[in-house]
Amino acid sequence: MIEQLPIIQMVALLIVALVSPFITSKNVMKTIMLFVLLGVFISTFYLMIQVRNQGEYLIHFGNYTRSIGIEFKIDAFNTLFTLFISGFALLVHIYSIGYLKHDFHQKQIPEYYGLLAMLYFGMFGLLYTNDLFNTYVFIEILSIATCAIISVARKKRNYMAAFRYLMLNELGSLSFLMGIALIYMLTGALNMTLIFERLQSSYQLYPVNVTLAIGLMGIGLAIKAAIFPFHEWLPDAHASAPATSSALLSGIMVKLYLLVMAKLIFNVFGLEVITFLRVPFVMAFFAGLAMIMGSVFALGQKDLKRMLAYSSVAQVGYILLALSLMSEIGLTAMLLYIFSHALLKGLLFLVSGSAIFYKSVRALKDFEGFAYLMPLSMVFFTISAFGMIGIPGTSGFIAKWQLSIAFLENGMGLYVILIIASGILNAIYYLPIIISAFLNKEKADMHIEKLPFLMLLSTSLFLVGILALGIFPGWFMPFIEAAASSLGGF
Amino acid sequence: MNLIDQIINNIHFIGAFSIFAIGLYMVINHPNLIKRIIGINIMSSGVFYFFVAIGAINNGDVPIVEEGATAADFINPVPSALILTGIVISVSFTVYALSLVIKIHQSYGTLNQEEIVKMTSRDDSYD
Repeated sequence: MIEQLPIIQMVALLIVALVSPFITSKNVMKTIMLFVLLGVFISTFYLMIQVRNQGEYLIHFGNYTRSIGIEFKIDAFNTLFTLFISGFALLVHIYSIGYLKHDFHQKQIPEYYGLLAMLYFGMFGLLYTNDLFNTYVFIEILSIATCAIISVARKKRNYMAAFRYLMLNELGSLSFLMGIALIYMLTGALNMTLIFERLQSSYQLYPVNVTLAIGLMGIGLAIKAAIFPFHEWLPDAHASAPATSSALLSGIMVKLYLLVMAKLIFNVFGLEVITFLRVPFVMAFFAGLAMIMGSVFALGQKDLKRMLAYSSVAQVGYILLALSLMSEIGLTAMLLYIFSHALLKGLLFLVSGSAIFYKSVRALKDFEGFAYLMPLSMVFFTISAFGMIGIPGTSGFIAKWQLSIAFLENGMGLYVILIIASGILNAIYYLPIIISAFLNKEKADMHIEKLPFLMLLSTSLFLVGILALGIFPGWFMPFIEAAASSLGGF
Repeated sequence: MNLIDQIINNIHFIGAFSIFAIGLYMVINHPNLIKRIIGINIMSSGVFYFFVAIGAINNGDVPIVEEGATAADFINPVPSALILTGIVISVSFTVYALSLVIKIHQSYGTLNQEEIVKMTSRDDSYD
């Protein structure tokens, strides 16, 4: 029974998604969603402890063997991430209970939650699955669900943003599928473990297949993860979505594809093949480009949410850079960076949502003296912006520190300069907002903003997460290290 | 002669990649939104063709096992089964994309991407 827990969670989410069109009352929907997410969160926590104590295990659907059936692998890595996703989803849900009357027609709210449930279903499946074609199916579920979430707020601009995102997403998916076809042609298997075993002996005999497959799958995932030259869709899509979905999309969705990339590298192709084809070098190159160019584009933005979206492009570069090390310490740094950035960017998007909710501002110039209007939110904003820059005490500092150490240990000091340079660029576009918000206007009548309590609760919990990870990283490191070693097989 | 032999042996794979490339060209270069959706569909046909070609063998039979037949007589059924899933996904993608196109046409009055981009860059407001 306990072993079937991941499937039960996913079925619960799927049922929520399926019944959502028939629920007319938004309060009923919010309550159902709250309880389902709470249940998923608690059960994932239990599952993670279980896996930590008793080791990883496999689930075979319909008792088919590995070579033809679908297999789920439940290990320290994916239970940690599903726990994080369900916790993140819970916080965003608490926020959205207060927030959602702003952005939508009331009738659409149940549908919106249905789409979110579908999104979580796809995320869980993508992490648990140990089958390549299954990965493709979950990627498609995710891409259609995300586009629908962007287009659900009925605005002109959202339709176009969703359409562009959908087209690029589909290009990525098809090129990923073509890669799977090439791998299947070579190995005759779709199970990741089997492919890994068979590739090790045969990759040198069929270099064209392997190279083409890695290229096609890499480009497919790069489009979806918004790695620099393919980032074109991200600012439109993330800036036009409602704040709760921007937090989810920017905080988690984009990183999920990087995790899939890591899974492919370590579990499907193996380090030998990857280094044979010099993939790490290519990855490091594009990562460096993304880190600098994302920040440079962010400098030129006039709209807060667009600026945050471009900043995500830069941050994806950091994560890719950590992955390009292909070592245990690099992988640990990558996972830590994903957690840190998800919390920071989630909070930044939620605070920008509060600003839109309370005063309907989103242009950067409107933030002058804003700290007197919304003191709490601006404090949250400031601390998370400090985290993005990498100031000690926040999770961003720990993540960048870990990343720098990983590079120094490998004797690649040059990249540390890149990390610092990108950090300075971050400071250049975050600090002016903070300075103008706090110092630019002498306004005496300062008062605490009247936001719904649940919105404040959720943002403060995000802040607690950021500070906890920043001040007591030792509490979390054992879990992250266990996840890294189970993913990489070190 | 060697080259021609190779082309003939791999004709399915070459064909599949050509269809993929034609679709890709259409998606990237065509300004009309519906034509781009068609382009994606052509691309997916290319991928499906490739998958089916992997499983096929010359003079292969439908994989329904009867008395006396050996495994070598049958085509590989797994890719065909995968493609069934792929077709369903492609249909749902098309449905969703076309519904978006209806909404776009209602709000912009055109389906030409270049004209829409011109319109959106004029009004730079979001809310």
